[in-house]
Amino acid sequence: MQQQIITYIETELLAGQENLNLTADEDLLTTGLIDSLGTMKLIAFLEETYDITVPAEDMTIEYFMTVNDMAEYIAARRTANVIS
Amino acid sequence: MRNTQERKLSRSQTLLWTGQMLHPDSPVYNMAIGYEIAAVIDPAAFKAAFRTMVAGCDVLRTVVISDDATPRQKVLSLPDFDLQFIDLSDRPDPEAAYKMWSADRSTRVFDLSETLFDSALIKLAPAKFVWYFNQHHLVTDGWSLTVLHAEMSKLYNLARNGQLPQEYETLPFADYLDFENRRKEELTDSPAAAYWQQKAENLPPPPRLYGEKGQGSTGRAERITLPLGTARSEALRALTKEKDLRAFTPDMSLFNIFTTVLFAFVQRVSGQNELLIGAPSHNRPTPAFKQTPGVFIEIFPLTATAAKGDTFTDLFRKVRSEAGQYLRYAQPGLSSPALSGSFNVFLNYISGKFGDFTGLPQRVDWLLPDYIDPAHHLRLHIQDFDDTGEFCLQFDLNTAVFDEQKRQNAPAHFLRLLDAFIENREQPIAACELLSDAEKRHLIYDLNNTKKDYTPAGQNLLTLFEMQVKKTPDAPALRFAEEVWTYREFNEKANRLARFLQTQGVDREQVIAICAERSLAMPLAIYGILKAGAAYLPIDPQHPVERVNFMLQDANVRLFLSQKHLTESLKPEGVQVINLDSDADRFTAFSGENLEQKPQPQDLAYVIYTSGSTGKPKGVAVEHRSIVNRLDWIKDLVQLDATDVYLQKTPYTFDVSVPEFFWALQIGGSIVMAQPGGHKSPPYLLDTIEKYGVTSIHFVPSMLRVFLEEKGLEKCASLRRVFISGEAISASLQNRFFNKFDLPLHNLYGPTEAAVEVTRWQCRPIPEDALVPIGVPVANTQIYLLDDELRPVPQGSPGELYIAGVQVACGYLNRPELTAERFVADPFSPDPGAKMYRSGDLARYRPDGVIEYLGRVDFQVKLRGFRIELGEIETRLEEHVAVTQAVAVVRENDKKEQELVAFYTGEKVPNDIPFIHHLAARLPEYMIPKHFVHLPEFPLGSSGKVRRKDLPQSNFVTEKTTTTYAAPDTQLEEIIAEMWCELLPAERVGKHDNFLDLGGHSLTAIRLVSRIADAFELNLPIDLVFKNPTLATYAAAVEGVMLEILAEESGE
Repeated sequence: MQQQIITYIETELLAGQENLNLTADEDLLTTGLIDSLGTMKLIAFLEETYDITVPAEDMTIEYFMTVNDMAEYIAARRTANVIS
Repeated sequence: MRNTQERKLSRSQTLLWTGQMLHPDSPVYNMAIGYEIAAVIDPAAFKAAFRTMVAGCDVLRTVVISDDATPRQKVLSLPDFDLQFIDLSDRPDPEAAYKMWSADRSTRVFDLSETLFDSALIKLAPAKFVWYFNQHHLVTDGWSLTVLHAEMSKLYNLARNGQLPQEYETLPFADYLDFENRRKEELTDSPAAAYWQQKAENLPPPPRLYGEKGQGSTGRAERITLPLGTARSEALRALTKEKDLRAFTPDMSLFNIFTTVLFAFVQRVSGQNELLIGAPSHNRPTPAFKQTPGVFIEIFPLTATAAKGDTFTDLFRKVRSEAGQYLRYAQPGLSSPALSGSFNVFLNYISGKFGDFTGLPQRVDWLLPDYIDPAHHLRLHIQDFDDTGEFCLQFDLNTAVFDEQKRQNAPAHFLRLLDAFIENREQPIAACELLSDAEKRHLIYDLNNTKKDYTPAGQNLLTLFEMQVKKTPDAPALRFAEEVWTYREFNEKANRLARFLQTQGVDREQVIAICAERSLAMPLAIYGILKAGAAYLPIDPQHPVERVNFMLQDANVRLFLSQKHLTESLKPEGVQVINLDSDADRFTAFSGENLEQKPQPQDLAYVIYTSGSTGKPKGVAVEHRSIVNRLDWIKDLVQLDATDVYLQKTPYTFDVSVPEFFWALQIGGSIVMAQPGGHKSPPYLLDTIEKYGVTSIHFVPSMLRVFLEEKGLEKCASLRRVFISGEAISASLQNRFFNKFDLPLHNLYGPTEAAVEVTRWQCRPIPEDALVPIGVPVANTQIYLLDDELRPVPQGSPGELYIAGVQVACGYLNRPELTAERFVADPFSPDPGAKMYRSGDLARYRPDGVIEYLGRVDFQVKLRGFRIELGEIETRLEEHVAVTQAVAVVRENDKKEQELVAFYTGEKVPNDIPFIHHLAARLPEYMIPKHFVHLPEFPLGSSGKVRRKDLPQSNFVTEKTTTTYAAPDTQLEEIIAEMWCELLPAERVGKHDNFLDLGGHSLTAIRLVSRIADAFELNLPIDLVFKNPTLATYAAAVEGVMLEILAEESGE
């Protein structure tokens, strides 16, 4: 999952920037690597790819700062969906 | 050089170009910046660097051509531009010289087909230069400015060292055009497109900031710059780290905070809870686009609904959610005229920074070209261009909405809300103080400076009359048909009646009912009751007996003065009936001298019942001093004399009748009593005016409308003035009055609860769509426009009208709870016992302090001058066995008349007759609905309340006929119809088809004007079609322009 997300970021959001070599625990947001608009694109990708819905109140930095955070969040959302 | 082929404009460019075409002479889209560099600049190197940049930057070589109203852009191969060097350093005041120069230069309008930028280097001092750079928005946006600034900074540095590159090119904007084209198809059915479609269909109306419509806006604007200071800026940055305010990025968190405060500001100054602003999306989805010069931004709306009692945190949550959706769906190519033209408040949060100029210290000055989009009323820019850590707010304020005072106050109001957010975001938005002490002083005290002492002091309603009797005992006082009473006769009769009443055990302040038809008996009863020291309660003989009995009981009435023919059928319960006619001989024995004991100013003078929301009418108790002030004030303002004849025609159950009964008799004039029912008959009124030489008359506006349509208005030669009150008068009606009469028209406003009227305005001709003001407060009266927290609303904003001062009634008879609810402590009075009356009316101040009436706060309505509490009708209707629930509304029928419509649930009744019978026994005639509509159930809102707005609009009025097709008549209509067919998605166009309904918008309008220009060599204003949207009206308007031109030409 992490690699799939990294590939999306490198090829779609940061296309044209070379030698990125992103890692799953790299801070994407506070460094400004991805801006708000990019994050929204990323969320749309995550929703579609992993079949989750990100409610507006979850659109905060703690769930999307690193690729690992995202993976954790997706797992939590999926569990929540199953329960509900 | 790259291609010079013509290309279509991007979505955003098309919208900008359309805007420019709509305002062809406005510099509205000039984006001019002065980069003030505090260092020595080498002009030659600078010019060379600039030349290189222009040569290598496609957008700087772009022009826009539009021969056939379809705009295309073309990149010219050779730059025909040499940067100008201007040395102002030898001027006495170089800064001032530059200010003058830039003010002129930045407001020049670009010829789009020539060049879309302008630039110069200005020397202000040996080590102080300004790089002036102005671009048309068609080729730049805020982000692009930073890109070109960085490019120029780099190139100048190279030029200084003689290292300008031969080959130089910025990333091409053409790539974005390709990108947008490629995306078009994939966007068509995307969720994003659906989101914006849905949004466009549900946008709230743009709010009226400070109650202003922005009429006649040319877009002229002033920019007010407000630096936030370091402490506040740091506090804001600290907030972006708080758990509940955090977002993906600090900038987004700041955007959400500023949007919340802006929404709060709009809500507070407009009174509108449905909030709407526009904001730009930078639209640079790839790293390459982030480096590309050109216009990428597209503008999308954000909306939110503020609820009563919302804290900043509550509103912030709504904004955060909305902003999340905005970011998700704001994608290149999705903006539209419907979206970008929907709002009047624009928020531009700019995160871009310019930093230094190739290492040289620099300050950025963004120049407003004096104009903004005329549809925009407020544009708020938030920036820190110089990267100082301090936010700078720039308010571009449309001068059609913000006068000088508001331009000063509005930024301060915003700042108070921002500070409140920073200090404690858990506080309700409504709780924040918006106004300065000076503003409050102005609104509460300066505008209410009405103190006036009248003589003699301590008057009661009859003091001046009794004085006048001594002066002119034999002058006619009252006339009814052929019967005339002199002052002395009338006074003696009233004294005799008063003495008789006292023998019947009348005490001070006791309430005595009168139930009479209009005749001399009516004023006799009123004066006699007052002289006896009691208060009078007028009862309409037409009212159902149930309502009469309720009032008698409610007011604790023991004596009932009436006429024989009325009391025979109307049998009031629990009262002693005295017939003024048949019992008249019982009074004659008493002395006709004035009574020794006079009513005191604080004594009750009358009780008048008005419709009540709980289903029961309520008696308003008014003291002598209140109504005396009302009379003293008007006497001071409008001087009647002994030759004046006042027509008493208002039903005496309506408090407007009170001045009719007293005013003229205080100064030696006379009163003519109209025949019963005569007030409803214009021919009768005309004859009466002519016959008796009536000089003064009062109308409720709906009656004035009918009266003005009557033939024979020339019979009104004796009239000297007309008073109106009771409902809002429209500009068209008062203008119609001025077309017929050259007389003063006094518009008065006031509730029964404040002694008839409390404001006055002398009408004058005004535009048909303007509001007729209700004017300024009368003497010894204060009008406050307050919010729910009883604080003054900002000048211009709608507030509930409260009345304080001597005219405020004591309250509702025997209704302490209702009295406490409507008559509240006046917090602005030095007198701790002072009360103010809460009118339930919405009003606003014009900039000159004159008050405009805006409507009712609640559901109480006025129909034909009658105050109607819809709740009362509903309660009564619900008493009917068939009805489960009832809702009454006022609707305009297809004749533009207001009428009452009742909706009900329960058992469907085949016709209205049972309801009319039922209500006729309980309500006055004017409260009986015209239509009764059965519904299976009511539309309910989330609170469980009936959503009145969602009640059916039709099926009780004449069925709305769908516009039937009517073929064009004239040749001109045919030609234009053909053009519409080509431009609009319509198969055929008839006379009554509407350009806007057929999907026409600005761009189509431009194309239309271009076609007409080709066909007729006629240059029409683009907005002509918006003002005359049907085919027939548009063709007529076009013909009008043609005829005007012909007339001018033949005149030359």
